[in-house]
Amino acid sequence: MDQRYIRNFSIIAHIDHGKSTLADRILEMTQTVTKREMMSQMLDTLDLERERGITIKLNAVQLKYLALDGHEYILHLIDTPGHVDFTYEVSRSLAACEGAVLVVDAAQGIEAQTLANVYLALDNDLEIIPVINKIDLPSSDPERVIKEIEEVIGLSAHDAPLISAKNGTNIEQVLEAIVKKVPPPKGSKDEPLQALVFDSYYDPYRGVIALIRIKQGSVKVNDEIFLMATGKTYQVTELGVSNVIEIKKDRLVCGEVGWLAASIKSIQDVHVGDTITLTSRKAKEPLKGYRKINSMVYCGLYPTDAKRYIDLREALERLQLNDASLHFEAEASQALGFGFRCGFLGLLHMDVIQERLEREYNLDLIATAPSVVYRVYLTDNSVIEVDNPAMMPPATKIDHIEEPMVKALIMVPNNYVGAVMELSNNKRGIYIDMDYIDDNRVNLIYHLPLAEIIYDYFDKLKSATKGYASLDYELIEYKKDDLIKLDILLNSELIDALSVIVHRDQAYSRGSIITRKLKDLLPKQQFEIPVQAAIGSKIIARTNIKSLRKDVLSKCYGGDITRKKKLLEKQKEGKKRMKSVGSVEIPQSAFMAVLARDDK
Amino acid sequence: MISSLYVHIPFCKSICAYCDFCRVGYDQNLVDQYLVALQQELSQRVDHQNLKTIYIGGGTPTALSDEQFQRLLMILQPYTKDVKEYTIEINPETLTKTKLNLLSTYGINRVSLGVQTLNDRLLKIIKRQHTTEQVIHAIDDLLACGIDNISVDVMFGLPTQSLTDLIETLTSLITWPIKHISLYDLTIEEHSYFGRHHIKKADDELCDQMYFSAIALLEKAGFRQYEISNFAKSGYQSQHNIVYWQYQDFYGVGLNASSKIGHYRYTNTSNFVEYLANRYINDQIYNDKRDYLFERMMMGLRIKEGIVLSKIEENDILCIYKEELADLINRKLLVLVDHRLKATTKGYSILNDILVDLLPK
Repeated sequence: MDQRYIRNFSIIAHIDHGKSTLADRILEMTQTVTKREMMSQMLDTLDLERERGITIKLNAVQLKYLALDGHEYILHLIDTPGHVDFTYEVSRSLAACEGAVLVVDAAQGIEAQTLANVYLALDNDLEIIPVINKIDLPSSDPERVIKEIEEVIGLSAHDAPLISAKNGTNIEQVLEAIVKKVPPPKGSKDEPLQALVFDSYYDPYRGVIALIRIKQGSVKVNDEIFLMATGKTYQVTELGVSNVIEIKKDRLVCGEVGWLAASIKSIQDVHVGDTITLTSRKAKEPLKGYRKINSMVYCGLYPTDAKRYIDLREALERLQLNDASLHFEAEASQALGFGFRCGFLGLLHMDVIQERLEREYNLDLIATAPSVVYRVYLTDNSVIEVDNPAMMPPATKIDHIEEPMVKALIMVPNNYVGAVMELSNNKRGIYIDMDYIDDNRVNLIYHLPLAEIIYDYFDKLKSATKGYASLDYELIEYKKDDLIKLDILLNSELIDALSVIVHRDQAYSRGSIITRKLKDLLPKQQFEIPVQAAIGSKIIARTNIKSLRKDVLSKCYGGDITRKKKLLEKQKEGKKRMKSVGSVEIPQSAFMAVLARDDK
Repeated sequence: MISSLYVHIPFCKSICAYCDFCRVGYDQNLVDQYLVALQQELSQRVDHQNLKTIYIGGGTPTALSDEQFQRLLMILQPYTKDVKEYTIEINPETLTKTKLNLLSTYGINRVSLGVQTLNDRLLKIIKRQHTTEQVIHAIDDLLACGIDNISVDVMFGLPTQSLTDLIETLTSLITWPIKHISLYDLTIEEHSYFGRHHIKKADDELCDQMYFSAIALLEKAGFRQYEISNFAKSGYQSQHNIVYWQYQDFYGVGLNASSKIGHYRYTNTSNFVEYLANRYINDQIYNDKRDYLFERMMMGLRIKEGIVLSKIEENDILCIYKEELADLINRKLLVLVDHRLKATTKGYSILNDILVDLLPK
């Protein structure tokens, strides 16, 4: 294959700006799939992704396009996930390309994620092709959006294709722009092999399938390969490309994008960003940009029914087969019994995993409130990482605690700047920079504790700006702050699963919010229960749940036995979903009470 | 032998804010057709003989025109031969002179009056159409035409209702010549006006207080609590409702009415078209022994004196619910003495809790 006629590209966009729809149209146009075969949004394969309108797993498709210049081009479309949790994966996918199609909504204009993606693409030296989508909308204003792209991003956009992916308008212009503007892949097939792993998935028959981009050299079936980050070797069993269905090949060469199988047992052994080379002729150095991804957010997952512990473990193992970024290890909570501490890339990743466990594996789960990973410096000069507030050592042994900070990019109409600044300051944010995108919109940069983002920053940001603000963030550093552990006691018993790490200044207000929320959530029991919040042995907030006095059906249902029974069944269902801790019954929802806000 | 009959009249002149029962706005034509279908159902399903109690409920039976009202009573007349207690639900504002006279003509000897509260402000909130004054007139009129077995429905936990509001209502009521009071806790039903408008009832603690204060006040005035929600002067317990609670068999006719015959329970259709086409029964449930006994306890434990179990029942219950009962008796929530199973004072106020523990899995 002639390298000059290969084009490797991704599509990047803010959520809902039409990335997947454009991908569908391109697949149709190049007749990779016929319209009839095509389920809408071909590349998003998981049900959940389709439901939430987001792409979680990546995919790469080979397309053939006969351009107006008379040549047939091979295009590799590499899909990217569209959420802030997956920034690293996005950056690796982009590293596999030479160009990116930047889709911008003709009505909404540039959003925070648009910018974040553009920066990632620029970091990878990609040729960016702006495309203005949704020109069919009555509210569309392509002129304004073109001006925005030119002024804010500094990209020339005067000849940007104006398209409607939904209606299939001007899609050919996008393909022509790709062919004309995206440079062909560099590199030589005669150099030692350097293949970038940008995604992987598990196939029960063939082991891990790595999606790769050959940057230098070539690879054949039966070659012995060496993974430079993990230091493992394997023998290639199959190679191929995918044009929606897999096509096997004997060999992949420089510039191509395809898949590789080598009887790799575990997805943990194939790191996204790793470089594959040949044992017989190793590359001098790995490709740039690899880093090991770490979990950003942790929570405890427990089966409501203790008997299903093994089922939960098996379900997590199954999910992990296809998700190298999911981590879990067994843990035991005094309150919840046996379960797992699970690590996720972010909140969305966490939600998706929880939902899949409940839906696909039919498990009833109790999830503890999410926590970030704290670095705890002990008085004996050692450092430990703590991702579970219950495991925080006693205050006397702690010298100080550091927490993860993110750089947050907040894009907002300028009349909300004051509100965003006030919110960010209240959330321990540090102002870094502000610039005007245009007369109306402002780009704010803050450094914020990740813990505040997972607590309620995002929701508050949305409500403070009537939903206009958009947010993107990335982890930047660990920083010391005055952090302490807040404990919750029910009936004088410490409930470990309800402990939370907070800033000292927020301890009193959080303590009283949590105790009040618990009072609402906990059903009355047959005796009075004190609900307390404590720092160490010091009680800082307290409410009482009054004892149950009356629980009878006193409505006029006459002979309607069915209805009476239904009410009791509902009550029983509620009771089943509770955990008995000592003598107190705690409903599932209570374990999220530590996330309760003060807005009620 | 089935000794009780419930007749449902699903028509109302206006809809109360808390109600999600099976009812529709009054429509003259629809009522005419309904009465035809009702007569048909009665003749197909109900034995003329042996009925001891009849209860006409709704809806609002008195929403019918005087002429329709008479037709209804005529339809039922053949079933009243052996009836001892013949009850009808009445809304105070709908009781005309003609209807009053019809009551005695057709042998109705008990009236359940939908009062709910004697506070005119609260009556408006719950969208009742009558005033306290109309309640007083209705009771005078009923007594004047010889109906002295009057029961009054009272609700508590109404939005914005205070404990004093409830006590005032009850204090007035107990001085009146009525024989029976039903006391219902407001439930916000999703499909009622309150539910759709997200209107909250009085808070739980206040409702608890209202319930226990009401019991104390009524008991002191000679209205003895004989069931979770029911209070009566000596000798005036509702014979019809006791049939439900003792889990005896009963017919229910009309839209969406329930019946119980042996191990079977039936629910009539709630669809008018179906009903008018004489397709009455929508759902039939067969209860196995375990479910049957559960329902027996669910209904029976509502009676303060509990259930007197037959030898066979006692054996079965002790066999099927052995562990649960042992636990509940141990926790001093139930007692079983001389074949009588009943809730203790402590258990009686948290009966749902007990029943949930007994509910078959």
